Amino acid sequence: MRSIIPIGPFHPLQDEPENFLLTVEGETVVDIDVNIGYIHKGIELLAQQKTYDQTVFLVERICGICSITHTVCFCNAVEDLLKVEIPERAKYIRTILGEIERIHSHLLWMGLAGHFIGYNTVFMWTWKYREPILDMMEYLTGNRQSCGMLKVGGVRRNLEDSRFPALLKTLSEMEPKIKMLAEAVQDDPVLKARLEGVGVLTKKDAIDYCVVGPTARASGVDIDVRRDDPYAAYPYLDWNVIVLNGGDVYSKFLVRVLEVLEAIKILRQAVKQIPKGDFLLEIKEIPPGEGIGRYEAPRGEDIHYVRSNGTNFPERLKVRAPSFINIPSFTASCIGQQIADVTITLAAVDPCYSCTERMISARDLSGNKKYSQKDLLEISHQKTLEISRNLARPADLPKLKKYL
Amino acid sequence: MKIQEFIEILKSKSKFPFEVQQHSEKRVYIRIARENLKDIAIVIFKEMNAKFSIASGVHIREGFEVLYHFTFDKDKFICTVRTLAPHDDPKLDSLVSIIPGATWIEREIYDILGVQFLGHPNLKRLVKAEFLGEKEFPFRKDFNIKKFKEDHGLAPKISFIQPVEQTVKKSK
Amino acid sequence: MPNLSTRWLKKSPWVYHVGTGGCNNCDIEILDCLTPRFDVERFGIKLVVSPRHADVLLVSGPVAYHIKPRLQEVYKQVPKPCVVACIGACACSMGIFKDAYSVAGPVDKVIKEIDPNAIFVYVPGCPPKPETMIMALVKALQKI
Repeated sequence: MRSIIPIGPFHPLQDEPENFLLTVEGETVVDIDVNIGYIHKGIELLAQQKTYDQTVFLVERICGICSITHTVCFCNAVEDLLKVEIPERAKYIRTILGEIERIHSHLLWMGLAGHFIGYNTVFMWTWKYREPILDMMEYLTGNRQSCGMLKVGGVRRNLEDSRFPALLKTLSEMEPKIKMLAEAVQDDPVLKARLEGVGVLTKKDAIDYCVVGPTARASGVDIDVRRDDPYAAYPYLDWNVIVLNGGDVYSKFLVRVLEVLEAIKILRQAVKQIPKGDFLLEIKEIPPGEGIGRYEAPRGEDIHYVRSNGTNFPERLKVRAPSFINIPSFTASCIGQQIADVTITLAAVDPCYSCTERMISARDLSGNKKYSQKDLLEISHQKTLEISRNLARPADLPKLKKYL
Repeated sequence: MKIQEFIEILKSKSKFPFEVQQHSEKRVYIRIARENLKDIAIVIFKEMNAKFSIASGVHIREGFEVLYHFTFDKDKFICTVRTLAPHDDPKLDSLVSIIPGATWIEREIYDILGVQFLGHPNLKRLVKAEFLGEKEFPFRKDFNIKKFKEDHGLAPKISFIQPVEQTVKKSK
Repeated sequence: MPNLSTRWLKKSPWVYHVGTGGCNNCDIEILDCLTPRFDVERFGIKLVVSPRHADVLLVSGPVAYHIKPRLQEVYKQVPKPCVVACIGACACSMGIFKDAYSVAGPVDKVIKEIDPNAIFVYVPGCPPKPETMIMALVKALQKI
């Protein structure tokens, strides 16, 4: 018997409005429909009415979590159009801000993932560890998110050297906690049973659907814009690209945990090597032409295409956020899954709907069985509980129940 | 593989003419006629293993220009294929049968510019199905935002100028 | 003697979060209020999963055209009296998206279309800090 499950648009699972439409046969998902377009505000059209300096602030508000991503990417695009090199210090400052953002974004996702499968402890832990990082952002730039630091040709304000020791102290306090989290994920039998083999995106599908970022790297596709199309200070630093071959949610979780550790490594080197000097290159006019900017966002590759006609306003700005290309891969990874696994599979690509500027609409088909999002979450939690019951010895059960 | 080598390989593999414009060491733009779009997609995506990043549509004087951005991650450059759909016949071949990842972006270009993609399996408007008219495409140059907002009740009709003019006339 | 329902409201307000097309920043800061650093649950402020249980609506973002009827629908389901908190500059006044073509209006304008007597509290900032939001809720409850 086939039935259709609409999810959303307003539900407690994620903070943004979104909606999925699953067709299920018994417990198995056979089709997923993606109809979108609700929180569309027309940012690309709005950019054509704003000057280049104003557009930087506009693209910062495409997405709050990736505020540095979109601004740096836009600046990269305009600098590619102009064919200019920005000052060294500006490159390092962009790197530092970008990596701080990557840490807090990954921690945010891990918390939400823990919440979906019923580990609220993980949710509370990671969000607690995220706070010092946001404090550091405020200490360095003046705001927790959306700091308004970027400008075409460099950065708008300087970072004071005297504030870096506090950043290093925070990082060294954070590192053992992240390692503890990584070990907890790898050692925990329940978490492993719940995430391993779930929502597999094969390497071929990953290439066909052109997915990017941690979603692709967990499927064995070795891409990273920081290495493949270097921008900012990444060519001067020593770091690794994390690639795993599993393709399941467990690999995606692990890629993100390891990337946080890698980001801490990059930050330490950047703070040590940052040179003194200018941080802004003055740009007087923007000639006609076109430019493409790329940036490795926490969720994957971000692309901005800018076309100028010689005036003060961009003629066309095209924004391709990573979620836009990652979301259609649900079709490949969700089909054949159980309903209980769908929530975590959908969440595993870290979809960001403000970036994508759109969302998914529900159709109400009468006579069909319906689950609300709350029910789905409950199903997901029950499965975790069942697995933990089967795995744990009777003596461990009360101890485990505490965490569920 | 550098851009020069890439162009030579492309020339040897393809049987159609194209125009090359090299912007910098990392960016190259290729202009082709719209009949050859599918052929070049097969060559670049299937045979040369590029990654399809995105397509962007622009309304220019000659018609609707659609740019397909292909990234070569190992070789560190981007190849952009540009093609034109004229005003009187805004149609292009769909690439979905070759690149599944192009599904959404073709729907989006159809939505904002009104370029039709022939052979697309599900060509619905992606973002704004229920509130734009059949012939309203916001990214066309003749789209009037102020008039649009007034028609759809998104902005109140404000007339500051008229009363001022009337008072001036009266005083005369 | 004060109304029974407002007395309950003062003790422990339950909030429901509606994202109407903002940039995600305010939404994340709202979730931040729940986590150990700020932990609003110790004051009895709790995020609920259905608008029918809520006393306070937290709305973030300019109201995009498609989300407008849904926001009005959510507002109708909330038991009255209730408070609508406009979180962030976009929700208060549309902010940077004022000239965008598919934005219907700020939150107060959209909700006043169906209920002219609605109570609003405005939290400006981009994004407002969690402390600001907690203070705004406290002020809103004094208003009732």
